[in-house]
Amino acid sequence: MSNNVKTPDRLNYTRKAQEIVSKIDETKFMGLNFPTTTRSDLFMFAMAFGINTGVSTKLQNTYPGGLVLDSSIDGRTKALLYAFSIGSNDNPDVLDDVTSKDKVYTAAQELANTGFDIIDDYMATKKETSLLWTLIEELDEQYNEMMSSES
Amino acid sequence: MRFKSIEITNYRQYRNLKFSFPLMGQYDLHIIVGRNTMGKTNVLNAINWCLYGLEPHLGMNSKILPKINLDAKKDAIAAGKTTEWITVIIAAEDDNHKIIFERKLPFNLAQDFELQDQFTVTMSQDSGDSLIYSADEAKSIVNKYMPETIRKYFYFDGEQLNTYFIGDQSSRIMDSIRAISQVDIISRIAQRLDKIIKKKQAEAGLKAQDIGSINTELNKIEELVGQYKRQIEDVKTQIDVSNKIIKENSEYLQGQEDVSELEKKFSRLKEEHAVLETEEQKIERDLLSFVKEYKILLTSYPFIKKTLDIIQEKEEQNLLPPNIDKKILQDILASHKCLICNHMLDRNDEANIKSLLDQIQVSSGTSHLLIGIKSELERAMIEVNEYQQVKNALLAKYRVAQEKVKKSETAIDTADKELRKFSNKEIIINKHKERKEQEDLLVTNNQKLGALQSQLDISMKQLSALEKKLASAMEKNNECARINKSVDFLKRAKNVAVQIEQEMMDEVKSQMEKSCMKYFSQLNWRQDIYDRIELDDSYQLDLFHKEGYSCVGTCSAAERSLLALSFTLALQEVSGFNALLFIDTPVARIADVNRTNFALVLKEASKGKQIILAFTPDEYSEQIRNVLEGITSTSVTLEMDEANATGTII
Repeated sequence: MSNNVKTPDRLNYTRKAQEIVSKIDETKFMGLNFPTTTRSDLFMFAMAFGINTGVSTKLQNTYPGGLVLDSSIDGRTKALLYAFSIGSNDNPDVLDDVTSKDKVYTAAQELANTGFDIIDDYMATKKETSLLWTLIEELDEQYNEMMSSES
Repeated sequence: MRFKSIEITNYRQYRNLKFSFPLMGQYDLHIIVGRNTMGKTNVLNAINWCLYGLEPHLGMNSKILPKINLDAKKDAIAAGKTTEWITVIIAAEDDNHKIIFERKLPFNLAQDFELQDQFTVTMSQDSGDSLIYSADEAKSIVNKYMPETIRKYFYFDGEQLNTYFIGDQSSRIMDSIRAISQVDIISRIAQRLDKIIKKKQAEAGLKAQDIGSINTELNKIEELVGQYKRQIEDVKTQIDVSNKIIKENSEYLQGQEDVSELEKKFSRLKEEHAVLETEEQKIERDLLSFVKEYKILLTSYPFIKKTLDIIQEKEEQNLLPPNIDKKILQDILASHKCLICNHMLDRNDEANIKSLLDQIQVSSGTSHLLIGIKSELERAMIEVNEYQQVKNALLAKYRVAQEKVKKSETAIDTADKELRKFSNKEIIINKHKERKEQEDLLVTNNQKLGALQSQLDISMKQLSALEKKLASAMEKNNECARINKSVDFLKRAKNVAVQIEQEMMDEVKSQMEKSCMKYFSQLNWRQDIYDRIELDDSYQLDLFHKEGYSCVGTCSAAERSLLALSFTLALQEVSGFNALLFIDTPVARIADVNRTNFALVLKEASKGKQIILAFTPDEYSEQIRNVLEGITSTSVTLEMDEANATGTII
């Protein structure tokens, strides 16, 4: 690992994503606004959508200041971020590489970036109640797939 | 009272001496003549000792000797006695009643000291019987006839007469005059009246009632009673009004649906609906939280599971944590020497390290990271497994809440439809409202009426008690007025007594001044130079020269003696106090013509008073004898029994 790479101290997002977050706070969409939902959870929620799509969107025009400082990221969020990085990798012998903080954060930010766009789209097209039931159905499907793959 | 005899046994120089004082003719005058040291003064001491237990006229030599006669003591010791008695007995009479004063003193011969004396007074009664008094009773009888406080005016030492008006004697003189003239009886009456007045005033003070404050309280309660009665009337009127309105409204509402109750029900349903909606919204929020949480968890699940599998595998291979730090090995290879011991690596060493590096797959930092996230990931896995259970519980709650909201909406619709039926809904509601208000008011007013009635009853009782208290207070005040009237009377009586006392004292003083001047003029040979005698308010005696100035301080000793004698004679004359006069060496300081005057005065005085005069042979001069011989009732001469060194009567 190059010593020139700066270790990240926050989770970043784009200016566009920042506008989406502001809209969320303003409309209290799905209760994703602060403080009903922490910024860590909002990030993870967006990232989940990103994972579902399987599309990473590189961050362009990053919003200065970032979304969540390291010091505000709780233990569980960190665990999930690293689990995603480890679990996405097929080679278990390169763990040192895949647990590089820079790589973990970058991958997570790109997936969340995709997720913020999806949330923005939901805000524009879906009512909260219908989205709620849509998401519950999706969760059921995810769960059932999970269970069937387990068995 | 007059003395009939004096009997002296074993006292001072007297072994056994008896004087008898019979009244022979019109002059109750008795002469005792004796040289100095014959014991004339001790006769005076014997009288004082018998009556008062005192020996006021003892010479310095006698004071150191015991009372017992020394020969009697010697004889008693010789006779083998242990005690010898000293006795003085005075036999007297008053209105044909015999009185015997007797003082006896036992003398302990073995130990040579005097024991406690015994004093008795024996009085004969009209029945012929005699009563014996002792202690305080005996003293009281002596003070009745010859008060101890003024004994000096009955038993004189002539040699001391000139000192009577020297020094502060006035208070004693005033007290004496008060006692002798019996003015003190009036004083005691006045004092007694004063005590009674104070007692009565205190009694009146206790009985005095503050009618003003009772009346004030009474007025207050009467006012309260009036207020309560008016309030009761007002409340009763309000109750009547309420009853009327309730009746009218009930008649109007008869057969009508209870719109007011429906309105209330409608409002209540609305409120309940709001609550149910809030509950439903809360469950919706819980569902949203559920969705957010499980969107993350279920999406992350494959990665979580895979990560935990890797961690488990590494743990099973004992690679977590590694035994050797992978980074140190990499640094050693890069520098071709051991970073611990500085040993340069050869090919073989480097091959071994490379082999070791191949075995160590996880760095120390990664190892710690994996260990750190493991527990969080395990918890996430548990939560994932609870997905169905949590979801079903939330949805069930949500369905129940929705059902409740739906039912509530149905109930609201039904109530609304019912309300819409009434065209006069507002009137009915108002009538209901008014009836309810009046019913509430009726309850309140009935309670108020009960409370007012109770307060009125209490106040009426207080009023009745106060009226009784007022009546009692007025009765007590009447009693108080009666006591005050009595106090007024007592005060007047006391003032009269004080006035009488003052008048008596003034009169006694005036008579004393005149009588004293009369005797002094008779006794004194210089009759033309003195004008008058005055007693001031404190009974201080003053003699005034014809030129008008006070001259008692410049008188000769003889004149002062005559003045004292004059004062005594005046005192006894004015007071009417019937006691004997005993003067020892009466003219010791008086010479020549004054002695004649003295004898003439005492001769006249002895017509109504027993007088005993004890002269020295020199004193009993020709001038005296010329006047007194032949008229005295008794006359004795004391001679010393040389053999026994004791006095005897010849």
